[in-house]
Amino acid sequence: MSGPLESGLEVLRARFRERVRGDLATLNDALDALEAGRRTAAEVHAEMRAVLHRLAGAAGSFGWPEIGTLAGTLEQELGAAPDPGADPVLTAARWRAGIAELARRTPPTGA
Amino acid sequence: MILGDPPVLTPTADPDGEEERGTPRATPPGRLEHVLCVEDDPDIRALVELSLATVGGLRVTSCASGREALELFVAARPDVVLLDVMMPEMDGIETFRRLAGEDGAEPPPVVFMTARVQPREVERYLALGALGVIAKPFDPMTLAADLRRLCGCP
Repeated sequence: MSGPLESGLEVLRARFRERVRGDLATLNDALDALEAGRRTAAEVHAEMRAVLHRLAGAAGSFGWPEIGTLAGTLEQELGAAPDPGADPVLTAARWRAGIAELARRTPPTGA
Repeated sequence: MILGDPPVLTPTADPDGEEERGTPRATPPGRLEHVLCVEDDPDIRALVELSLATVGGLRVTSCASGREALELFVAARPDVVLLDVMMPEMDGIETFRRLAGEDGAEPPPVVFMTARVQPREVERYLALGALGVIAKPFDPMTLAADLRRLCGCP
């Protein structure tokens, strides 16, 4: 790999890694709001799908295909309309497991 | 992953009943020196710029929205437009339609770049007249070569 490309990629990867951390925080914040009744399941699903779609399309290009694949799977699972009668706490718990797995796969700083 | 090659795919179905049937594909420009990248994600945009410029030796003009793309397409006169599909306000499909202009005009030289690559979705992009589709995630090492191939460059 050429020098300029490699050095440029390292900068972009570091930036993207920080963005993933921000995206995971956004997802958790959305679920907090769902649990607390501050936002509806439809609102939270829409925001989560947008975040996961971006991750699914981008992570592989930065060298982390596992994150992209999992984000794509979660995005597809979120594609079904939320059950308006579902318990928000149980719904949030279900998605938190997926977010925790995304966090586990995110490379540490400097990786 | 590159989709749409070989370059001729006859539209056979319109998933949403919206597109014209039999719309011709854009003519591959046969040269590739200047790319207009339309992508709302700043990280992806930066990676495309780096990849095309460093690996492919191409000149890249970028913007973050379909609305900006309409102006830059005229002002910058790129050889090809690398166009994201999922964008706020004006998505890639609508941007393509506006770039195409009036009925009967030849489709603009557009390659869609998107994570939405189910067969029905790809067929829809090609039915519009796009040169092809590059799936996200893309490989920064091969992006320029994929684009050259879709543009009919040796």
